[in-house]
Amino acid sequence: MKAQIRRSLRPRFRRAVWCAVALLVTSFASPLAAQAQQSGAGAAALRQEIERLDALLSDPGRTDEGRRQIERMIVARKRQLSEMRVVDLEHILEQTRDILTPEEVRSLEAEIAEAKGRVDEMPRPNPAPRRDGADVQQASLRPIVPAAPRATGATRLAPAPTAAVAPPRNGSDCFPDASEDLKKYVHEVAKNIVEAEHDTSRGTPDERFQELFGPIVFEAMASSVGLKEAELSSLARQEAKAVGEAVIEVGRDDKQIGASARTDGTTTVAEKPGFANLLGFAIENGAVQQNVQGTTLTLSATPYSLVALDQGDTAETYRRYTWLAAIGATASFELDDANDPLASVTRGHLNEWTVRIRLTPDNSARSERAEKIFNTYVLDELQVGNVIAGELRDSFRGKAGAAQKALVEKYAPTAAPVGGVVEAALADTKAANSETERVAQIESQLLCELAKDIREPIRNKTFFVEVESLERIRTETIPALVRAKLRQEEAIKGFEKALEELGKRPEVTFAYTNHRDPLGSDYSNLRLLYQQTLAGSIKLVANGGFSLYSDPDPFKNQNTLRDFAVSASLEGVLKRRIPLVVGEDLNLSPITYTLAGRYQRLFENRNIAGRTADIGSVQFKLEIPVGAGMSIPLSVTYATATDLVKENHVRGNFGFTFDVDKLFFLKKIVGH
Amino acid sequence: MKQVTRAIYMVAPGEHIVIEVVATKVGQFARVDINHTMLTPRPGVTPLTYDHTATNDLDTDFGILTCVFPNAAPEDASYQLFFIDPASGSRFTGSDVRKSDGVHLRGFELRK
Repeated sequence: MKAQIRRSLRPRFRRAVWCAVALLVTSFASPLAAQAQQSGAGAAALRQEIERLDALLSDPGRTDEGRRQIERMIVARKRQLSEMRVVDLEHILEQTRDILTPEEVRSLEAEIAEAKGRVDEMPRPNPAPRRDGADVQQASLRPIVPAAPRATGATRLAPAPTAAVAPPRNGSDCFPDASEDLKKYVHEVAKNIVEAEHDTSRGTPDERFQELFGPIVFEAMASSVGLKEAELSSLARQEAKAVGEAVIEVGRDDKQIGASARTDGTTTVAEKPGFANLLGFAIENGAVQQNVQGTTLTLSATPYSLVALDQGDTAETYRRYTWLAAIGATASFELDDANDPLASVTRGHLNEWTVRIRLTPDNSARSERAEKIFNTYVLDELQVGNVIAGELRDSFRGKAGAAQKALVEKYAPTAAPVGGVVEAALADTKAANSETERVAQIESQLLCELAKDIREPIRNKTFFVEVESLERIRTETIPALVRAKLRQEEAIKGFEKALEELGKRPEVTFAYTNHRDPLGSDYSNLRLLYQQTLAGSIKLVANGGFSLYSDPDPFKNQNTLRDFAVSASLEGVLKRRIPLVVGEDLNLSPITYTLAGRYQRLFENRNIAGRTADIGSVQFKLEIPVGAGMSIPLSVTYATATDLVKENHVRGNFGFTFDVDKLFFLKKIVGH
Repeated sequence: MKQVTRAIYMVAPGEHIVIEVVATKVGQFARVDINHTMLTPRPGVTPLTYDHTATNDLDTDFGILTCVFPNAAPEDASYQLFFIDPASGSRFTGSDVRKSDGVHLRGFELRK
């Protein structure tokens, strides 16, 4: 019986054993298969990614920086693929060693070694940068080799990195607590070095950097020890406001100051006493009290402008020839051809010429009075430079001084041809799409370098400035700097207001005009012009004078005394401003309006039928700026009569004013 | 005195130098500080002219020029720094500041 049972169980047992073996083999083989399947899938995915990246790389519109990024990604994936191949081959060897011939084993081992060698030759990808804001690990943008130490024995800073560079980071990420002034200085220097790349008339790129490096380093140090928080102090603001208000009061003080500043003038019913310093001209259409209408070209200049052309319009020239700046001259010509106005500038076309002399003191922004206000009330408040210079001196002593010099050499070497951070930044950003973008990129690079060279070492307590100096900066210099910045800002605002008040003082000018009348007798006009700015920036202009015939014609009822006239006008500015055509930010010129009245007693019209000696007029005028240094004067005039006809009328006039100075300046800017 | 660059000069300890600030198309609204001291210009002299004696130690003297431009000044108004060695008569052109610049201060170093 037992034998029968044994005989019946043998086939079942054998089947069970074979099933178990099959199960074991399957379970053992499946990870391998799965792995093979996975790595196959992974390798395929990597190959697909490489193909996509290759396609992006071949795009001709790609920037250099974009190309570098893509190449880095391709390299990283190719390395991964090679690593996967090594692993795969090692697995195959491990799993099949017992069934392979020795020759096959040696061949496989050689293939594995070769694959490993290829992986080792490939560059390693950089680790992803940490993004926690407090700590910054920023690899250099490119391997920067510090300049060779100078003969003075200045020490080098940190050695140049040799690994492949990481993509540039935003400056605010690198230096999150940079003060506003640090960012402003770095932005300015970025702009300057880009400008200097093509135009070294103001210095080379390195020099343009060096001239702001002291303030930059100072602000970077101060920012690293808490300047940003300190700048929010409200107590300092209140104190600073009082400084500004004190300066404004000086500008208002009648006893101290006197007359007001000059302003530019245009021809209206009530003539303004001001005149342009440099050459300009105006074209007007229409006359106010005559029957004949003509097109007039007026040129104006001062003797000072001719001297300044020769000697330079410096403070020294202005101080020496201030009296020439008080004299102005204009000449008006009858226009033949409006398209070529200067062709009419001949004696034969001369309508009139005028000489004016300012009788009140100079109250312009360049006057001695303005400088006196500055020296007495503003100069002492400009303390920011003092704080910066003082702290640089205190911090960079001895060894720290040598390290500071090395820092300058790193960024902007004093001896060519070795390049520094500035040169590297210019080279790195050549492919930027615009100058604005380039400046922003350089700004970021510089802030990141400063973070690496100053902010991090300060936080790690490895900065070359002594710890005591940093403590002094934190506890003494920063509070002094914050106060100085606020007081300086308020003092400058107050100075501006004081100059405005200075310019509102009354100004009196004497003017002589010679009128050439081709149809009648020439005559001269002498008059006094008075101008004062009233409350709300409204200007009052008043004129009074008389005319004399040089050769009166008795048949025309003329005597030597031709007429006397008085006029007055009020001029204001509309709040709305119009941007110039050339560029909205360049200049926003306001629309000005004028309301004027005039009375003239023309003696030769006495007792003449159809004429009246008493001529009155009222005019409303708008001056509308329309383009680069150009404006259109529009006016409506009511007159009781003209010189020749005793008949009241209403007339509209328009003209075109062209400021040569403004246009030349704007052309210069646009040309850049 | 020797000029290294527009913003860096080599001077001997105790050396006397002259600094000029020339204003163009603007009044003389500028100030020069070296180390902790505001320099006083020569009275009644235009352009602004400052005398400075380099400190006697070997540390660098740091200077800052601060400029103010009134709104009425044209955009091309400027200040120009000059450094003069009275002993040799040499005159070196330093940095300039224009109203159109975004920052109206400039630094310079007098290295020993």
